[in-house]
Amino acid sequence: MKKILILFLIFAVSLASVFAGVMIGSVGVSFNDLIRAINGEKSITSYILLKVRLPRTIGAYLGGAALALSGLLLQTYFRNPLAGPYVLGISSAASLGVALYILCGIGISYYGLVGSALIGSLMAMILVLMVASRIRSAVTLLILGLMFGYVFGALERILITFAESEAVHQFVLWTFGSFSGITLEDVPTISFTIILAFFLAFLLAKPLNALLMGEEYARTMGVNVKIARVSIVFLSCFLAAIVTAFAGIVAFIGLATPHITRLIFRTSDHKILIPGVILCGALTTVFCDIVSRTIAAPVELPISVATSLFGAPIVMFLILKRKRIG
Amino acid sequence: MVVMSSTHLAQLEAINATNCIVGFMWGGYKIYFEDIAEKLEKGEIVDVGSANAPDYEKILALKPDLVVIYVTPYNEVVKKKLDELNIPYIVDSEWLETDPLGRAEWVKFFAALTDKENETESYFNHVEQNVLEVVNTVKDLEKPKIIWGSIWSGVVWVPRADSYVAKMIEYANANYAFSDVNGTGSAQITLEEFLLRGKDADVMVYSWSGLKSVEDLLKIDNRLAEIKAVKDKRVYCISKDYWQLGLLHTDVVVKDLAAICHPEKFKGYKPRFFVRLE
Repeated sequence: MKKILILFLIFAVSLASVFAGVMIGSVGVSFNDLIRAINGEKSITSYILLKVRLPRTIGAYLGGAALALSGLLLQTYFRNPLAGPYVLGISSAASLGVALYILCGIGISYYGLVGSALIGSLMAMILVLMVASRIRSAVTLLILGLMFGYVFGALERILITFAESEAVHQFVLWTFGSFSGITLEDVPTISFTIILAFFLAFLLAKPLNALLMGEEYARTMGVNVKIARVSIVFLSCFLAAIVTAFAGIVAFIGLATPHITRLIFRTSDHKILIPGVILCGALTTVFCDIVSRTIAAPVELPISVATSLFGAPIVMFLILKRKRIG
Repeated sequence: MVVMSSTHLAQLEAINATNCIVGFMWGGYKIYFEDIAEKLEKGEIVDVGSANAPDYEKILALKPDLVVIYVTPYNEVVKKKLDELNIPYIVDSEWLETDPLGRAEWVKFFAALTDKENETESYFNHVEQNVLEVVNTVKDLEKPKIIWGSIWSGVVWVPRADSYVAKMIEYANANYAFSDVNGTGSAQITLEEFLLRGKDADVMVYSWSGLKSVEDLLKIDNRLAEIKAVKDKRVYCISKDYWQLGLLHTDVVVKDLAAICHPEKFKGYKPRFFVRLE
């Protein structure tokens, strides 16, 4: 019961963070500005609130939640606290897709970038799924995923070596990651896909609990390990792919939030951990997004700087306080 | 002499001293200096690999009297390796200059290396005079507001207030929208700030050469349509040879910028290094 209460509390705080995300920024706005914007008044402030900050904040909320959930699924499945959403090569594949798009001079449009990152990461996902459905050992899958990542990374380096410096510069900007590119038109697509994935993840709570003790144990508990494995890999890769396509590579959230969540809820029950990690991921990412764009305003720090800089001390603090990871 | 960057080519080009180049850390991108491109094609100038990871064996084989390098935090390893291999090198820091004229004046450095002091004087005086002439032409005109930058997946980069771009804008007698972002080089700023300050910007320069039309620009981010210069279609991007020939013709770049900002004063003038988006 207490845990449900904490869930509601974090949910309330996360909603407040969305409100803060819309209200706080390098351009000062008042509550009245927000009311005017909602009433459809045309001004640059209204435009900034509704077309720049709102989609960005929703993007950070859902994107952070997705990365955190992806991290939790993989940490549980691999029984490895260092696993994160990018461990199976998704981000390297997205990077490679974008590198091909930019460095080969195919185009420059925003949806070209989103599309190329998505194609790259979905191809990698299919590759990983093919492996996941054939092998029996989680460790083998983890190692193969890492190897895929290295191969994609190497191909990307080859493209960089032969590209013009101007194009390389544009590519490097993409790798920094930011939720700023997300527009209001993207929000329905992102929301629908990510929220659908959340519901699918809830169905996995029971097999995930069994997998905590290893695949053999899960099998004896009546879990169809192969289906569970493929579902976990599919969901985690798919979530990482969607976020990476729209926001580039956002570090740390996927790795750290599951730890934060386990430490807060002091449980390993995925019926609590899944909603918990979704809400903690959303809250942390919105907070880091606000920090990244206000702390040195009008200069913006890359989101990954904020997530690592503020996330790492939180994890260290919680670990030292509780002296154990759940 | 082995040189590292296309800016070195530009400087040597300015004083007709490209004959001394035997190697260039090229890596394959397009070269807009015709004579150099031709020599690279024929192998008279050897491509010694990229500036971040040159082929030291090729450099050694060329037995250069001197390698001209620039050093950034990303390529310090090149300097260390040249030290280790006992290859004589000299560091050129022209890219740190915050004034385009200061940048152009670095030809004196190359002149000293190649005994071309006479050519240098005439080249630099010519550039300086032309820039001052432009400054005089526009100095009493009303200053338009200019916004300069590039955007990529919502990430906006603009030149800082003490960068050479800001200085060029000052020469062209325009108000730079980010004159409060101190420092040299560029800064990442928030999209909302870019839109807010662009709301009344008369001219916009997109610092990338791959665009043809305003439509292309809006494909990068359709929210840029809020910028006044975009609504008025006074948007320019830099030409493909800006980073090579543009560095050789600083005076033309400044004149181009002045003409973009004050078209009434330069009727019939077609900018050379800025392309207006259709």
